Amino acid sequence: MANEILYADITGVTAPISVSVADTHGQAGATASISAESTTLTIGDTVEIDLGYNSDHDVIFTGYVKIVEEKVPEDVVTIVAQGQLGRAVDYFIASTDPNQPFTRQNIAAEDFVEDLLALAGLTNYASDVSNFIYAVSIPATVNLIGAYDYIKSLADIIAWSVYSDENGIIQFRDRKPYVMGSDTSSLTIDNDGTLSITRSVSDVDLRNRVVVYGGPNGVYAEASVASPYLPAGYFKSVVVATEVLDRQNYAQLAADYNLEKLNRLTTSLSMELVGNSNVACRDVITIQNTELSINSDWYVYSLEHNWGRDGYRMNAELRQ
Amino acid sequence: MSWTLNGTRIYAQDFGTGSKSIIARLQTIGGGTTLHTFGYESEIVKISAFVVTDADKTALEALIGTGLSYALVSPEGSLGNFCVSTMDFKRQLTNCIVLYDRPGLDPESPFYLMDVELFIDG
Repeated sequence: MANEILYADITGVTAPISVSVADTHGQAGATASISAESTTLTIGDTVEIDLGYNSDHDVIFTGYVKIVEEKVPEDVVTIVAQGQLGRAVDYFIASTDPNQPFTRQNIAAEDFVEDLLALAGLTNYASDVSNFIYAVSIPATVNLIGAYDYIKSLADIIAWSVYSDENGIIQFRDRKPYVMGSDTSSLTIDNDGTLSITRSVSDVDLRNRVVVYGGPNGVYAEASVASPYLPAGYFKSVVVATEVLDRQNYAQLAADYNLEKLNRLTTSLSMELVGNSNVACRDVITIQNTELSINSDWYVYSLEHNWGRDGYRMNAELRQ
Repeated sequence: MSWTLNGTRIYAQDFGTGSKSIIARLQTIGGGTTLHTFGYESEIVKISAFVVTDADKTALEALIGTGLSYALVSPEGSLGNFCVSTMDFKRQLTNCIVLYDRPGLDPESPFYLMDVELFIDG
């Protein structure tokens, strides 16, 4: 029988009562909700959540305060915080002179994202190298749109992910919502760390045809493949429409990348786990379960840490 | 000194204290139980005491729901400041009351058994 003393150290918070931190692949980053006896935090302050056990704890969230609530007669404060990429969600791009909007031409995807993040004051940034060029010959104009919405569309075109991690760094990565060949497991969870587990397989996200409509010079591309899970000649389609693709080769790459991402069944585990601050959303971990004969690596698609008087538990959706 | 709560005389018959840890039990499918200790609940005091006169009963009932804490004094001295969690009164059947420390008391005064639960403040 394990016996652990719960630990929490949160910037500007005294006597935390409960903490919930949730993050999902495809979201801008985690959101946190903290209940406590008192706080010195105010709107916009940076907050870091380090929690777990006295014997093993880690930073699971870095972000900024969005909401502070004070409740009587309970004398409890509730703080809601958002990951750093929330700044880009709230940042609306609107040029002062409509004739001189923000533009970029012949620019690598990771550099385009970096420039857009800088508009929202976000410079703590890391990325992979995409070798993918947007707006090769026709400038891309960005105006009257949220910075995150535009950045997310750039990521979706090449089937990448953009998110803020638990340390507050904005990541632009070739991160698919399943285990990739280059992934290595960061830790193993077996039955001793598992409270419940459900396995499911579905075709809800399967797409076996991708059509890309590019920029004003008539660029388009298509990628499709027969699926063993669909009738012969039957295609579930998705369309990528964007003006930033003005070359045929990049439009075709976008179609190929998205077909590879989407042409698959969704195999998932829904698990309730004993809390572990070493697990983060978008990690790859090994699950061992004898009843379901599982001993393999899984991608952490969504993760919710729940810490309080009911103990430290996690709800996770894992995918392969 | 006598037993008083916020200066109101009570005649304690039974006095008890209790504390407890807050421990969550997580049952893993591996078979073992994991314990997570969140902290502890501070001392809770439970007293059964006689209360004499409606005036004293009313004075004690006024301590409910104020959000304030009040001094509890025993013959051995102050026990600290407490918030009143619960307070129950049962009127007792009596023919005549004579109390050595209340010489002017009406012998037909109402006589109550009070059960009170107090949470220590701080």
